[in-house]
Amino acid sequence: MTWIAFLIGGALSGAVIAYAMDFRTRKGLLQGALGGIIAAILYMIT
Amino acid sequence: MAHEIVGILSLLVFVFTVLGPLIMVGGRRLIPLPLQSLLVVGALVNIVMTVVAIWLDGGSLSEMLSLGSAVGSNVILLPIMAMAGGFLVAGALEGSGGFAALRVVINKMRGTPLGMAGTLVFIAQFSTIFAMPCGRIAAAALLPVIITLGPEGVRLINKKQMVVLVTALAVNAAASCGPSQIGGIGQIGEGFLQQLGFLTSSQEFGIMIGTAFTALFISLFVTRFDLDEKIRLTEGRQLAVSSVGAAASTDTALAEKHDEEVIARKFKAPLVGYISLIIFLVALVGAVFGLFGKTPITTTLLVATVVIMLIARLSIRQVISGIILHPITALVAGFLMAGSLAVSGGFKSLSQVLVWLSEFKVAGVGLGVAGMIALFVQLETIMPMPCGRILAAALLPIVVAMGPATGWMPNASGLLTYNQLAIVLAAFIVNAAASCGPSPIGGIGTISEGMVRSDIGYLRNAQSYGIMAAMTPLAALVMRFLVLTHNPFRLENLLIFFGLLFGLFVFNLGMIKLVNPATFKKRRTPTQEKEKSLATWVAFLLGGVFSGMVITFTLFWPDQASGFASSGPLLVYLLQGAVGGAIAGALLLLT
Repeated sequence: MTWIAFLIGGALSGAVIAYAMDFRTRKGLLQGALGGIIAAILYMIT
Repeated sequence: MAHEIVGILSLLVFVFTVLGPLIMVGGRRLIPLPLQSLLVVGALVNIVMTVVAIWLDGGSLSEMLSLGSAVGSNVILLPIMAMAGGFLVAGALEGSGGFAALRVVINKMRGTPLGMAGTLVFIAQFSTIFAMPCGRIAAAALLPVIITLGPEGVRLINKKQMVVLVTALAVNAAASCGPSQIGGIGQIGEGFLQQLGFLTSSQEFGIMIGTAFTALFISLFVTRFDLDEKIRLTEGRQLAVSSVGAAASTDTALAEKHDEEVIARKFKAPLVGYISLIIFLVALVGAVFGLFGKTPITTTLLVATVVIMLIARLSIRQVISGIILHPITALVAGFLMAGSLAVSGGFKSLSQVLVWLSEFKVAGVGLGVAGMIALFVQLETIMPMPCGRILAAALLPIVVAMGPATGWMPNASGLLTYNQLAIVLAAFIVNAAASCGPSPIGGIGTISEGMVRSDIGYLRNAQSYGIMAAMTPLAALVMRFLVLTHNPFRLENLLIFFGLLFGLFVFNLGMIKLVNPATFKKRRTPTQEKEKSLATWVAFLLGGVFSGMVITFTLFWPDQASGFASSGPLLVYLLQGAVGGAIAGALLLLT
């Protein structure tokens, strides 16, 4: 449950940060979400 | 009687020492002393007053003489040792080129499917991924990356992107000392709850989302006018010039190639740097997951430090240079003040004030326990110190005193059950840890403000908003629905969690977008400055209301199977939480 929450939360937060930094194309938002997911996985592992 | 008066007086001394340095008179700080010094002086004043109270109440000389050891015993060595261990390994990493290797790895990420956007997101979240005992360590390691990529470096990110990134990085780095397993603030709370690692995931989740909300807030509130007039960082040339012809495109391609060469030259690391980084990661992961048996984390870190020292042939001086004294002295000063409040009766008085606050009513309407807690958990960001440990060390015993009475806290008021106490601790600690981000008196945010050359405090509101509206309530939400009630699995809990999480996103995105001052007009006039101020107030008040309601919901949503008995009408609690949250939002802007 915690893993699912972190993955979804990571994707959402990554997309929001990318949007905030004016990466507002689909590609930019997806890259941001991917960065957020990787961050979330590392949050959980470390 | 004298003891009771001294208890109240010592509480006033505490409030004065904490608020005094924040008060500005005629552009100068009312008390221009370092906060730690002021706290130690305040602690001495409290001890002297307690001696007088003992004398007036007819106490013995031995009772007076035992005060020193009673105060000293409050200085807990474990978090100080863990923090020192973290700093030593950080010093070894810096000396061996470990941080340089980290910068190379991050730079290489731009060439992966992550692209620039994903890499910048990763940088913004990095500090809490490898959480150090002080966020300044990670911030100091990452800032050169941002400077190099920014408009005054190779201009891969523009001025606005840099403002957003350094603000998000500041709040993330500041908060990272909360969940850190190597001497973080959270470990103090986990010590009280007697469960190591119990508060980690809730804080991390709150920080992850709070970083995003901070980025969003600053992105929408930093207008073109502010970028031109208030951010004195130079703009740099634009990259996108393809519309002016093939020759220009060729120039751009050459310039980009040159930029990449400059970056490659700047980001270099020796082999031993990569090896030391791997040693550190193995030590960190091993310590967190208990791969080395029951070896204390501090010991694991010290062994890693020695191994790195031997491999990189570092001197002791190089390793010791990693120690940052500020957080250590902050912790000691906070513990001393806490000890002085304990012996003077200050904690007892504060507990009474909190109980009074929860019972105080005007025309039959009052904050109640729910409103008081919604306000109290935001207290550290309302009074932001340069290190969250200063107040956390002094205030955490008060939070614990709201919980059930135990052998080591026999006078606890019992306002909260054990589970509710864990939720409040998670929210309070993440708020405390993050509070050194927006602190105008030497917080991590001031480093970011220096980088973009804005006025001191310009980036503060965005950080405060992220902490108040996302980090704090989400830590409570995760603690309640994912940590405390995860076993046995119940779909109801998962649905409530995601319902509130998406609700928080929709509410904040919608609200910030709605009050976005940039939508008023393109140019800013004095009238529009007022409009921006009004928009900020609306955002903070509504954000505070929603945050207060979420925190209250996590505390009082009845669920007998998970140990949360129904203790009254939920709607009343939610309203009380909303009022407490709104007051917190207003105070965040006023202080």
